[in-house]
Amino acid sequence: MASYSTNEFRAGLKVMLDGDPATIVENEFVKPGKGQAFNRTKVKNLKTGKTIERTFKSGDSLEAADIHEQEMQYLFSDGEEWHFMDPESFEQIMATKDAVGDSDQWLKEQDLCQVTLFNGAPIQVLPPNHVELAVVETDPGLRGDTATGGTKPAKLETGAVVKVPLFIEEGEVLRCDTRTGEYLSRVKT
Amino acid sequence: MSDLEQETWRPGASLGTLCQRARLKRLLRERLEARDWLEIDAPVLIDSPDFEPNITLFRATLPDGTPAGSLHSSPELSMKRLLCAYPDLPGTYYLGPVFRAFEAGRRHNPEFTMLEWYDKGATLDSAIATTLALIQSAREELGLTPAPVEYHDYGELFRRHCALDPYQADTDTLARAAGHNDIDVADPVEMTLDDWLDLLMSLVIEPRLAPNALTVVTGYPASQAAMARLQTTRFEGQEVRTAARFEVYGGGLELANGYHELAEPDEQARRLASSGSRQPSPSQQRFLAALVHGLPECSGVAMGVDRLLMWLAGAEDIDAVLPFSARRV
Repeated sequence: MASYSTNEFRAGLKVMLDGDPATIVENEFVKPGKGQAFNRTKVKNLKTGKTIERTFKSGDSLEAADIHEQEMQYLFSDGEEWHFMDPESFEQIMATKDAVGDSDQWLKEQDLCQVTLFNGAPIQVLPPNHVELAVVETDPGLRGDTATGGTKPAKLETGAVVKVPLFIEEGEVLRCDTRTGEYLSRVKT
Repeated sequence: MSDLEQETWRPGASLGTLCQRARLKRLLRERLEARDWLEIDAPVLIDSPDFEPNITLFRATLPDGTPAGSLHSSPELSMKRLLCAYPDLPGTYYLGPVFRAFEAGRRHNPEFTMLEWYDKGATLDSAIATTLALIQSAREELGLTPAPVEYHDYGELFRRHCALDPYQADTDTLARAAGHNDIDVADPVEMTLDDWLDLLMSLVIEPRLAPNALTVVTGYPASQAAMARLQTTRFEGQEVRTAARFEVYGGGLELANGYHELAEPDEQARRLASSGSRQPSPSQQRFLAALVHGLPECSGVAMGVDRLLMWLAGAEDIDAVLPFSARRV
């Protein structure tokens, strides 16, 4: 496997750190004129999502991580395994709960997701930024109430619960932002 | 390359900063010329590694791959040979480029402008005074008021900010101090005493130096003497061997470094050998021969001109004081 020396460190570089794939978030070169040089880095563990700080003696190196990101279509899940397909090669892969995490509540069959692969296996799945999902459960709508600004919870077909305006009815399709978990608008069907 | 999308054809420095840069260089020359010091053109293409182990040289090669020397990281050896040959010179200076491979970051550019001078007869104290006067006159030239000056001892800084004695501490003590400051070193077993001291100096002490003042630091441990004389000083009631060396910081940014120069050829040859050089290169042998002939008592100072301008102009990144930093060449 290739490796990267500290002088190749830059934000976005994918490396192996403490046995896990990680991405360099920040890299600062520090050196007293007459002294030893160091690279002070912030590194995000791609499995846990945790960012740590680590200082390297300049000239050290880290093994490169075999990481790539790919758009894949979500097929189905049995609650333990989540199946995705490469829309170009039709190759299918399976992701575990660890990789899917909280994204599960937004995953709808056929949607294109951003899948991060480590050594060919998914370690992270991100749903599309915007999804359109039907409401399966919410209190009855207050017809005509578009002005008071009140909200109520609504459960969507994929499991996510979002705050919606009082006039929303079961069966309506909503546009939501998966990054913030917020309702954006109704979708005319 | 995405860098090219960010208009990297443009200079990093504004036109105003480039004008300040030109004025600064003119002022530095004027001040040193007024002392009857001789500006010299030290050779940029040299044959050999320097004495300092922490610097990587750029190697030159001929088109057929034959090694053809290195780019100098400092004009020091050439300048000292000149003083040995012409001991009547009151002083000599070099203002020009030096090169240090891999040194790139917010405060580093692999090619940078060095002002280096040797002042005959000067003690360390008078070298400090000359350095501060030069920096204050540069502030005046750019319309700034004189900066307050603080003097600190290396030992006292480590006692205050790291709660340890840097002359006595072992690697475990230094590693613990780094840990207390949330510094997580990737490969601690590879760290020498001086590595730990450099790390704590850079990451713990420098950021705590007075932000708007000039800080003079003296009392560096003997292990960090490079080409400085050694002296005996006192720290907390104990005698310690220290280097006759100082550093000047502008608000935590290292600006200049000076030595009361070692003139003793045997000691110099010994340090050269212990710094990892196998066989002295021809230019190192010529330097040692010059020392045998005799180096007049002198102090030498190296000042980073780009760093000085960064501090004067309040620039956070060296790219903002250079026409074209390595990110744009």
